[in-house]
Amino acid sequence: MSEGPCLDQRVEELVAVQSFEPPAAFREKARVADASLYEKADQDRLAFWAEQARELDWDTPFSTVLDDSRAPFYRWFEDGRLNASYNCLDRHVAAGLGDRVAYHWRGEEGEERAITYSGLLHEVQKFANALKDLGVRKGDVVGIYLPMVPEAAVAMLACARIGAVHNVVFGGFSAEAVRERMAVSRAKVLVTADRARRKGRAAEVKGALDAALDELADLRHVVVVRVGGGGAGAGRGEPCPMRTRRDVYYDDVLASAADTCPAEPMEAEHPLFILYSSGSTGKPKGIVHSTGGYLTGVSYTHRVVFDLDAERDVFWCTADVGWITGHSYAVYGPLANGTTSVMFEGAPDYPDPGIWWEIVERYGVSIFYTAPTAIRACMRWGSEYPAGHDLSSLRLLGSVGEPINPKAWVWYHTVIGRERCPIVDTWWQTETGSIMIAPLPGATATRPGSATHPLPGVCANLVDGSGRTVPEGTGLLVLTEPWPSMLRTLYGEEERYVEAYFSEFGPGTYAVGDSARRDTDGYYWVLGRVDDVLNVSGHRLSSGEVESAIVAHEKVAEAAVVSEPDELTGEAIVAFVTLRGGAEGGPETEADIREHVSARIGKLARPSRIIWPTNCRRPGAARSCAGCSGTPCRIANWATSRH
Amino acid sequence: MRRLLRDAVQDRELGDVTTLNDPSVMTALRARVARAGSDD
Repeated sequence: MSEGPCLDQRVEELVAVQSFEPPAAFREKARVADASLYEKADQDRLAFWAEQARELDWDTPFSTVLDDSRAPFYRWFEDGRLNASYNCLDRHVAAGLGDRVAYHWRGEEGEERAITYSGLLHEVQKFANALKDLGVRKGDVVGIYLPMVPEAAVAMLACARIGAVHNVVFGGFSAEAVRERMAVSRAKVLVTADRARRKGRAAEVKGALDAALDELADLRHVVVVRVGGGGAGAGRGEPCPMRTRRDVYYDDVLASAADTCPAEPMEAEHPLFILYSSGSTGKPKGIVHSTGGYLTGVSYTHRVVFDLDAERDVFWCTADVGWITGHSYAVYGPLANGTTSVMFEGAPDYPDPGIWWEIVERYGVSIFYTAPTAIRACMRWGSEYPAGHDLSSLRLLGSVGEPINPKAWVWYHTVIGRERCPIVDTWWQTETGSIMIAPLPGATATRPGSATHPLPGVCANLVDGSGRTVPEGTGLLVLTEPWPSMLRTLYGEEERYVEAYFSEFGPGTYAVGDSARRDTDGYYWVLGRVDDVLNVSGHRLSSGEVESAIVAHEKVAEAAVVSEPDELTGEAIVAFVTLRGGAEGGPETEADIREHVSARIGKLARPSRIIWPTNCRRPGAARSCAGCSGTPCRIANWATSRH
Repeated sequence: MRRLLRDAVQDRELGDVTTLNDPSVMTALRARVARAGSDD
């Protein structure tokens, strides 16, 4: 008899709980179990950041911490030199940890590869030499467009080793998105795959790009990883069309490359990568991150937010490397800290919705970091899948990507964490590089739906439109002091950088673009993008708040709300709703949901109409949208994810 | 992606759809939005 139904009953009981203390057993062993880290950062913020930066290995130690003389173009640790790939690999091998597993890679069809730190270092050196052989030099941009295979991490670290700037494009994006991102960054080389496997099928990748790539004047070479039919490096599927002189196979260039490639010390401010963010308006922004500051931010937050014990923990961040979450917490943060991670090629529901929990059990995952949209998909599939696996290795859970609705939080806490694992709800952005607002799991009492407090070293505030502090209630979220892992500029668009982030409140205050609420105890509740605020009859409501209320209805799986102009009320709320089990909605359910929202928030928040997008998919289109990363592709599902 | 839903509801020209694997899904969605509108 499955314990699924008992767990579901417990979820209903816990939904009413407002605050969760760190479990005593967790707190006893936690890195940080009190407020001391906040006090230390408050006493001398720059000294605090310098101390975090000194956890890294510097070829040339820095003597200055922050240079703000050209604000908002901030510089951190400017006269120091270091190499990101050295910090992620060589120093661990030198410390005798070469046999430690860096990645337990799991292929879609169950293939396994255990990649040690020394194995990863070997391949990174060879690929770094291969890139040099292809003419890549320090400062050149290298595009990466790969599925979740170890070669994605190898390519990123190989770039870092020689000072090339990587520009990763999420593997689910279209050929046009790749073309645009390569064109604007003037990429010299693109690393991609022959095919990508998805739920038992293999889709052509490189062949589908060729027409778009032919338009790129700066692109000299395309390196093709043979994912083929049998998992990364395991075999060769059908040959893929290759352009003479331009296209080369990854395994071929690796075979002919020299074994040793010393890590070149980089200036701390040397760009480590560009990552394009879609943003809510206009063309994508090329967010530029530095070497020293970025690595400081991701390694520090990975240690304290996840209470990391690299000797013991197995860390799994489910994000694709194509997102900032994948850069910071599937590659650079964990590797800089010598962590063992899981990397999974596949979707969370293939071959069945128990696969994630099978993987947790198989590799003994202790820290699990995923997105609310995935958690809601798991809820929809049912508690019996996680209940069928031994999840006792888990000790900490994380959430990222959007504010988590309280119902999903409680389900995660109960069904996955078994009330034993603290949840760290992390707020941050592509621009911030690393986590900004989150609990310290051994010290902070958590509240479902709140990312709690700014981390030690991070200064946040809520302000009104004129910049005055809003001590309590709803305001605009701002970051009031620079931090090491902040973006440095938008690639090739310095004016747009200033305009987008520092024009509203001046060069000293980073305008996040999110609205948030601060409660009487100082907890931050991020509500959503400022342009997602709804204005109904003069009352401001957040899209996320209304969505949370709709999702709390027992029949509802996912919801996304937007506004439309309304003569009477200024704006009216339109809701896109999908139902559990894929059921089709009708007028009765619509009335029921309207009543439900009215009861939870108020009559004002009732959607004026509900659209059921379940059947909008074109028959046969397995993935109609790129961003849902494996959750069933329903419009409202991806509508609630921020990308 | 909320931006695209807003565009569909407000019957505006769609913004950047290059991040969609299958942009035709927006056509189908628009049809549904229009139909829902005519039910009112």
